[in-house]
Amino acid sequence: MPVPTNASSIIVSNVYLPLWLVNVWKAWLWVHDLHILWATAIEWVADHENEISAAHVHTVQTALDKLIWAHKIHGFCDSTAGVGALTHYLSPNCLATTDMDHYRELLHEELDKYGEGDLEHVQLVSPDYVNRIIQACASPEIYWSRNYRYIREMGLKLNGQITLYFAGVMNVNNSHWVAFIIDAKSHTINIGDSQLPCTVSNRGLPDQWHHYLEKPICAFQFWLQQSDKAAKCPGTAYTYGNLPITQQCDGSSCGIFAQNALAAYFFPTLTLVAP
Amino acid sequence: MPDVKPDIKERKPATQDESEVPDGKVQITVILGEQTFKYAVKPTTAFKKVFETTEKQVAASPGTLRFHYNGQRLRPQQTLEEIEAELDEPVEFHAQLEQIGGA
Repeated sequence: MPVPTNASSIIVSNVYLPLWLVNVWKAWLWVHDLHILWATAIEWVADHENEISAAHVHTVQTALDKLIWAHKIHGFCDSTAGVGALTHYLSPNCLATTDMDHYRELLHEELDKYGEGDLEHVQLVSPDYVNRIIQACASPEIYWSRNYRYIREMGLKLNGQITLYFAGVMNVNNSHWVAFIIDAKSHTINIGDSQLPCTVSNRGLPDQWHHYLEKPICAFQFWLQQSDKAAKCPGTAYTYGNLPITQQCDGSSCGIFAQNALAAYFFPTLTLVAP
Repeated sequence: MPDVKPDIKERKPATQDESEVPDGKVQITVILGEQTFKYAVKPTTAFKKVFETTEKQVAASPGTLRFHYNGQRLRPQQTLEEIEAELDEPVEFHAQLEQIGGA
């Protein structure tokens, strides 16, 4: 079917997706076909092993082994899926909490490999972790329960500057991902919102954040204050800062841009992706 | 096909007394928002059963709840033994629906 002139999106399951996604799908289909060809070759060699010379089998198997299509995917702790599983990333289904966790694992591994010891001082957390802090802020009595001990301990690590950066993405209104980095050295809560450019220059909560970020940010403040009290070492009050982030011009990129903002912060040589 | 006796026992109501936990089993409380669900499971039982039962209770699609213990994400094949749960105190799992973001 011909693409209408000036079209910029396509509809998939009632969701508008950018037209360039078609090229990604085409690339995936090409890789998928190649994967099938490779799998067929592996199977054929196994079936005909006794009919070919050992040297030839070895040569072919060595060549085929260079493409580890079904190997564990880097950064995905539980995944042993092949390329077929990557179709998940060609739809809006890849914008969920579990996917944010996958991106977090990738950044964690990158920091471990190339971060020159940064990982020791960086705590990358799941969006669920932020939800626990918000729950504790809403019911302070549960904050002191045994099941929230790990959150209190993390607060103490920030207070004692054992952990210098507490970072991740948080969900707002079940529709938007926002990056954050709590910097214990500068006592700053940095927020990167791909929908909301703002400049922070005072110690109060910026007006732009009031309408939907107030709850998580107040929860962070509650947690940090409780940690100061517990450590009996009152620290400087946390102020707010902007985490540089690409501004989105679509309805699907906030999670990717939030993860990219975190990566660019910890790896200054990385640049923010273009919208 | 042989009958498989489930070693998970869903417990209702949520306030049921601790002393009713059968020998060799441990009471797990799953907290999902305002709701709590209590189960008696063996330390060697995979959490898959707990996850599936909770998802049925709240009519959630399979795999859409995320379970945590002490801040660690729990996997369906893990057990209390494997995560080294502190069994001398109440074991609480926090459950959370997958969240979505884009716009």
